[in-house]
Amino acid sequence: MNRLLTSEGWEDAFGVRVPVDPVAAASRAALAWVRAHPAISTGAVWGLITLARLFAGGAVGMADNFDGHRLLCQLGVAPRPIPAGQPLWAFVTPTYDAYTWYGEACSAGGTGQPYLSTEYFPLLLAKLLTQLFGLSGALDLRMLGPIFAAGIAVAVGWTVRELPGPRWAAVLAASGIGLAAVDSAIAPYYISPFSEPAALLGLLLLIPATLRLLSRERVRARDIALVAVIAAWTIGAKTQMASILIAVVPVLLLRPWARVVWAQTDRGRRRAVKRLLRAMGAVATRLPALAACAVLVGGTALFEQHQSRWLNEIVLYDDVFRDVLGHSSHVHADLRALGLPTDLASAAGSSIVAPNSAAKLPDYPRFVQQESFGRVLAFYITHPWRLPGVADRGLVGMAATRPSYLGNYLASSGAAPYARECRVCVAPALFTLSQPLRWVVIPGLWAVALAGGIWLAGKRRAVPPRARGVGAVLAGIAAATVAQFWTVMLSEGDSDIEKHMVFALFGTMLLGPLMVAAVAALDQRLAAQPEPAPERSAL
Amino acid sequence: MTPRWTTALRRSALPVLGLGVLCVSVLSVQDLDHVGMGVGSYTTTWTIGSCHRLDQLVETDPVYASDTSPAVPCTSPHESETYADVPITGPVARQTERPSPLWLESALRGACDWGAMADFLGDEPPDVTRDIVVLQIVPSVPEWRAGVRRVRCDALIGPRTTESVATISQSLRGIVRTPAAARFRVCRLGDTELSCDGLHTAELVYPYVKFTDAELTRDHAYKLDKVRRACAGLVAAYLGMPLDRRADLSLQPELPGDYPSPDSRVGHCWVGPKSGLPTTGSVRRTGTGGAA
Repeated sequence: MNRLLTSEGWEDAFGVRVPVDPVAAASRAALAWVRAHPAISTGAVWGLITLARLFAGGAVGMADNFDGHRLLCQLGVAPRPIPAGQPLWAFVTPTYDAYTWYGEACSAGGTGQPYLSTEYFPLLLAKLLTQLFGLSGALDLRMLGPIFAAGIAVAVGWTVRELPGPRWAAVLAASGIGLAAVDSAIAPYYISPFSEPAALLGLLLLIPATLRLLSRERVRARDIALVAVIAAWTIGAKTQMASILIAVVPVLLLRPWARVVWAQTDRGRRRAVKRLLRAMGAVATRLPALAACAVLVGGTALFEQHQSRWLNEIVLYDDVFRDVLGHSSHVHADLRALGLPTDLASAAGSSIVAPNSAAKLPDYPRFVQQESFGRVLAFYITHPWRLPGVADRGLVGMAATRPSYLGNYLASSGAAPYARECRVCVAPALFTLSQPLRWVVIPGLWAVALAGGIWLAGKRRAVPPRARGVGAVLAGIAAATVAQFWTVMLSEGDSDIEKHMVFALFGTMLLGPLMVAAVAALDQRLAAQPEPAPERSAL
Repeated sequence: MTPRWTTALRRSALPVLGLGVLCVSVLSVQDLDHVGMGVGSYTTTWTIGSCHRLDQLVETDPVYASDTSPAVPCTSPHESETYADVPITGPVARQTERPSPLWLESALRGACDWGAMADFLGDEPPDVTRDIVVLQIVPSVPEWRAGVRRVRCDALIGPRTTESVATISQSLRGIVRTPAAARFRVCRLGDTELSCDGLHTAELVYPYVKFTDAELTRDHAYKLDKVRRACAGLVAAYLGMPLDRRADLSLQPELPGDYPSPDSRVGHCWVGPKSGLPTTGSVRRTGTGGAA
């Protein structure tokens, strides 16, 4: 029966009025719209959830441990002084005032080299919003909240759109990703002066972008460009994110851009010639992806090369003195193995600014001039029995989920100094519970995700490209997470490990929802398989 | 069917937004040669007697070792003043690239002489000061590459905390001989040490009274007598007259090991109101030191 909605209610085709509650009608219409647009509605819901978890009951974020200066000074702002008696780093200090920084006062640790990060752009937008809304100061970090909420909404909605399989499964898997993004182990970073949020958002956006890229048997150049741009953004946020290349490069090269059409005369050629032609064909059909990879790898190398020598020195110092020597029972032998003078032994376990820092010793210039990450890597290759200890410290750091020395609340909130928020405490709870079994749970999850992802991605004859794409994403995230874990452990070691492990943690958190998506993708295979036709089966 | 223009708009929205943010970012960069860094010429002001505004705590952190902010008139609020300029010598000077901050700090430890700063400030016994420290400024990276190897020695005033940074609006040259020095003199209120421009009950006179190991084992009466005798001349020099001619003041001798310095091996000469009531300002002889 056709019915029309009037201001008083529904009217049927015969003009008989049927009284209908307008609120219920509007709700039904809204529900119908939501069902018809699952991507937009799921994204919007997670955007709102992000806003609610960041602001409802008072804003939460991450206190600045002085690392914020190197990025925020580029916006011409300085932190507003904290009130007398307030403990350092105990509370979030979101308000910044305009300030003119001259020369190297705004650089990475005063080295005269800039600290570059794509997080600059959200911060710039937050500064503009601060002025637009007439908030106090030149920049209020709380303005980052809506920006990242919008980013999460886009990422989650886009993921729903790109995931294969039943819509409910896509919504479920994407909501799992949304849940990871708003978890208390992750979300406080959004309102902080650190560069982590840009990388976290980049990781989130890489998922749908890769799904989109791999949704076809032959990839499109614009999808390659999109993945490359998002990967560049993610790596550009923080140098340690270079580890994602281990997943992004194979994913970009996974499928051809064009189909090679072999001539009939090909049949008569020798096997060697055929093989050569096929190899050339494989390369030729991946030229756009190869170009994107070259740009990404070259750009990353250039970016790494332009990192502040001073920051590299601090990282290398922590790696050698805190991690290698700090956990060594043969300090002198290890120093010799690293090619360093044994006079530096007294600094074992120290930080670069500690009273017993090697920087105060006469042989320190030798450390700066001679030591490199390559040497540390070579040390671990020749001392592999040290690696389980390194891994264990990393797993403990991951299980801690977040730094304990940085508060999450504003001083005006009434919260205790250094209090950590627990509004969506799924990851902190799960990782804390799994801490005693960390050697089984975390690497086990990585291994299952990696193997399952590769298995699904390789089922070429059984599932459509979109479903295999989910496998590639699952394996890619697992591989990038493992690479990230080792990047942190073999570069920065266990210094400030809870903070540095945030990407490995986030990657691990994403594996659960992606496994759900992978199972749903398998289901697509069953649906896609045509019933055997009777006349063909008879043959 | 979706109109073509909405599809075009949807497809172009992200690139346009990205391009817009990029344009705003590029336009907001004031100096394209130093993207991601501070503004200005990256040239240090080396002039002795020049004053510098370093309002932020980070600007005087040891790792932020250069300062290329323009000098300000010493009559305007500032935090530091240059009192010397010394060359950088030794292996560190041979580095073509400026070494890391901690290496520099280690290599240049003591390059700026504290005594030279005291001379600049007009600080001499029996004066004793607080809230003025030596700040060493090294050449910026471009200057170092151009061969500049010198350290700027600044007198930096305090206190500098995360809560506030103290400023001054006059030159520090000879300041200890002026009434304005009260804020840099050492006083105490009860057991709390503070500057003499705040409420206090005693003011410190320099130098400290030294004790030998043998003397430290002697009884209280001996130590008290030794400090009293040593302080008499010092306090007289400080006040510009013998203490007994100042009926309002009395000596408050602090013996080695007295609270709040139980590990102290020296005696201190404190002078303060006989009434014990808190006061402000300095009792240093007018014309040479602080005002009463």
